[in-house]
Amino acid sequence: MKKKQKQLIAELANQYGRQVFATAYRIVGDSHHAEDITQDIYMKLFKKTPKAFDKVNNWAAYLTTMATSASLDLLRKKHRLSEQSITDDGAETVVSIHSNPEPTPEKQFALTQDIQQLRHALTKVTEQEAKVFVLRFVEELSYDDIAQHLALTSGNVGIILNRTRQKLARLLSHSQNTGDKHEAHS
Amino acid sequence: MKHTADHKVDKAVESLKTQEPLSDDIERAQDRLLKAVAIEAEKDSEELGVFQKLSAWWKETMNFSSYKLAGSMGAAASFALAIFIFSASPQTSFASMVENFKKARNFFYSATMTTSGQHLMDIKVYYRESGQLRVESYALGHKDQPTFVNIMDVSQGKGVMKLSDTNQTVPFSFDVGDTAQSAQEDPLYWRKLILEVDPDKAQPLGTQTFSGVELTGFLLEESGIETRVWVDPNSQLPVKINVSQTFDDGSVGFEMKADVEYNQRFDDSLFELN
Repeated sequence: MKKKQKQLIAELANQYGRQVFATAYRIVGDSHHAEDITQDIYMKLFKKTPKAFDKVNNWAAYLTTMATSASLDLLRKKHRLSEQSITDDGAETVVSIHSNPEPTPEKQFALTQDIQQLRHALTKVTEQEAKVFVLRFVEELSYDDIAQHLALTSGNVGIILNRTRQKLARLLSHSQNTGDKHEAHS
Repeated sequence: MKHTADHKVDKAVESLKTQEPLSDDIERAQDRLLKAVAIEAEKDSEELGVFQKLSAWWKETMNFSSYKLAGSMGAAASFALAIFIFSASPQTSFASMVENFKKARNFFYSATMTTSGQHLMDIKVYYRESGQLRVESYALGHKDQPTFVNIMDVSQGKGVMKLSDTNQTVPFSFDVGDTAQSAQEDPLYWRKLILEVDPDKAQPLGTQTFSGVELTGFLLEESGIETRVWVDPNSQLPVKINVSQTFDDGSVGFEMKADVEYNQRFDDSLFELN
């Protein structure tokens, strides 16, 4: 690997490391997992060819996409395991309240419910749908950036977003009605 | 109902967006990330240290038995010569240099190899376009007489290794035109780089005067190896080559400095396989 390429990776780690970690944390809700994901993403950069490096023209979007993809994969695995073991509940879907230091118990409960249900619902749509949705609505990437990094057209991104919103709306409504996240997919 | 469902999605998304890790966790993760990247970069340098491997190979070769030595040198030299035979398309001034280089009937070069600033060995290489190659290797402290000499005829896949101390001659054979393997152990790796590099990747270094002659330089970088090619503007041929591997801490590992001369009169005896 070229020295310049290694220098670039170091610079990318310095510049976007925190952002990648935060993206992963938002999705998986666990700082240890988020840290693992972040390191994995940067380690993968060492395997990239110089040609692949040259193709990336928006590193922030690229790394966000990588973090989102890896985090959703982990979320999916965790939910599969949790469904197999049935017993898990709070431990697997951690919700942070750092951003709101003094939430009322009701607000905290509502926040926790919303996030748990959304994370769960994201494991019930396709991988591509989940990625596109999170990248657009949570990470706020542009249609073009999403299209470029997921090898889609902007038109496709729009179609997928619309479809995914509908699916998630149904899943979340179902969760709300049943009050049990594990019933959302049934 | 639809609006309620949409609102539910929006609300959940907004809730998810509020999720931020603790600043302590962020900084701890960042610190570990930077360390992991630094370690991986270093590891990567070791794995791809072409000239580290090359220098190790030379050292190892010097300690080989005659037969092993013959095989190693034969293989390495066959790769080296094959590299001259398989060349690539050039353009502009760097390209014209490559074109001229390919037209050269023969050449001779002498090179000094160092590792971490310490002298490793010298080599003298004679090449004829007919596919004959002679590599003289001079170990440390042996300037007048080569420690061993490899003579090869690549068109036939035959060679001999001659040990100066014992006057022993060891014949060996090798695959004709076999360039696929062991490129990392090829002492003429830099030649292949010059010939195969995308001419657009050759970075101009401007001019520099060597022994009263102003040469035009180009920098080629590949796998952490920097190759500086200095071209004589009159002959449009590379006459000085400097290959070096610089580590991340700025220190220089393996380095090879070569002076090249073209279209020389070589005595046939230099390439005799007997």
